[in-house]
Amino acid sequence: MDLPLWLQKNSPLPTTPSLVASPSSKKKRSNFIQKTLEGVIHFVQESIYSEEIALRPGFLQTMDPRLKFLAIFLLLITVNLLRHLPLLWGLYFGILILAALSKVPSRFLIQRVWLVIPLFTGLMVLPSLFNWVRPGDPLWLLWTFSTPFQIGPLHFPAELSITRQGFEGEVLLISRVGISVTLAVLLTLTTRWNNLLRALRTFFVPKIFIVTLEMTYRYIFVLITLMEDMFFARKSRDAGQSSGAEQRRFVGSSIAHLFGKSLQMSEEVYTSMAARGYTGEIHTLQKFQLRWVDVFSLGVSLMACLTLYAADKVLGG
Amino acid sequence: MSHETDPLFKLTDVSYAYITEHPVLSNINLELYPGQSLVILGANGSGKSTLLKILAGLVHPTSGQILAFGQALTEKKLQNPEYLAEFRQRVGFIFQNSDAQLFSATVRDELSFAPLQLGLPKDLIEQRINETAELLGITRLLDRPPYKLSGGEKKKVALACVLTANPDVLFLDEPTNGLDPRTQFWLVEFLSALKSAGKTVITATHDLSIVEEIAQRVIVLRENHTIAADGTAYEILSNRDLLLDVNLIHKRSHFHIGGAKEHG
Repeated sequence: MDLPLWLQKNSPLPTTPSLVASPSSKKKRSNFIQKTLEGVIHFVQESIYSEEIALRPGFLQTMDPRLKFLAIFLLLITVNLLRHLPLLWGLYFGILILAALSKVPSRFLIQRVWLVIPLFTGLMVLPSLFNWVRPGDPLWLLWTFSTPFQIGPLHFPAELSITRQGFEGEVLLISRVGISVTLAVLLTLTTRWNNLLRALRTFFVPKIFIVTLEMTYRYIFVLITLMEDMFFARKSRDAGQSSGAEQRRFVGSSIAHLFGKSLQMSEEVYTSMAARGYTGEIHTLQKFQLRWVDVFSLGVSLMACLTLYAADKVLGG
Repeated sequence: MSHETDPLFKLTDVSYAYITEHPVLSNINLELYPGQSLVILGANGSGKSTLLKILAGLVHPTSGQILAFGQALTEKKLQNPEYLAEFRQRVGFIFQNSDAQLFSATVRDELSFAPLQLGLPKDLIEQRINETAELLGITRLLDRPPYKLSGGEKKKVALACVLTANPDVLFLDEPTNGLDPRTQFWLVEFLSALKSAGKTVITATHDLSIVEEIAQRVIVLRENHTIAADGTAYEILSNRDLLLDVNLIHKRSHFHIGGAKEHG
């Protein structure tokens, strides 16, 4: 086999180190692909981490997934019916104790929810803070215009202010959303994914929906691995000369490739399931064991919900 | 072993873990010399691929030092554009999964990616593409999309797209996986030709039948992610107890050195 001459040439050996980084070129490359992918991979690893919490011996982990689901669902409804902040935050405190009993690190739980939720929910309801959108008692006067505005059929008063009602509404909504999400996170953290889906099935969620979710979850890992491989393959030939446009093209073609691959894989998975007798029914060996302590916990949760709701009514408002 | 030159790669106490509780490599100490053909042997999950990726600067060890071409290889250093360009030119990586490696729209684009990255002149790139395609017998595939090729063709394209950058060091991860015997044989011969041209060829595999043909030196990874042995291909392959111990062969299998050649 005759190699072309250029291929037979090698760079000088390291006795004369040529790979000396010149101090003049200190500029760093910002590589958006690398950062995005690292984020995605980190997220998936965190999902594995979550499963790790679900395997710890804690209070919520040992509870029957069906009753746990029901209890948390009841609490979710209650959270969204309560109108008094002290009651809401009292409930949140209770949830944190529950999390501690279930060996979920509170810092992790708090960070995961409160770093993101206020931002997005807050943004969504931001306009309702102002008296132009929702009239009410002014809390902070922001600006006074000389005359009131009129744009088409809309009338705006001359003062722009943040209203008390708007502010209270915003705080209430953010609290509700944040606490609801905390409950949902607690449920998913302390329940293995498969058990959670099986619990959903007892509440008449269609089987095909659950099977789809189950497979999605499983194959996300496969596809992430493929994505990571593609990224490494590119990185190994990337000498730092790619423009933003080239990087975007790479991301575009990777998405197309992943899409094609997942389609192909779903066909293969389906045929392999069909080959083993799959007809649309999934049967599993595992049976849930209902214990008295589970029923008792559900009872406690129900009582707490009713008490909180009654207290909210009594406080009025 | 005495060596006149400095090592190309020097690993000191390198460990790696994706998740802290599950190490993939533990305390690896290793020196690799220019022009050496090395095979990293190990059972599934022993950390071969990760070791290759660490050597190629694709992942960075959780602890330990790594020297590449006489320089510390760190994540920070690879952010330096000149260092990165030179390092990537010197090091080529052929992945186990050719599908993942080939991301361009056509084979020609694929072959031009690395030399374009290096900023070579267009006519030189054209020449390299044509000669490499000719050498690997993939000229007729140049304008086809990579994902429509057969497994063997994909592997050749994957090899070609790395060779157009003319790297000094080639890393191959399970190169014979999924190849028919004829293509496997071709690959082994091709790797020998590269070795004769002075390339350093480092292959991670568990395919014992090719080890003797492509390796001067063999290191064996144990399932606890440490190095179990380091020696010549003959020393390693003739040590049945070692191969049994690292779970590369079964106690009833009939692997013996020279087996690959015997009937050829």
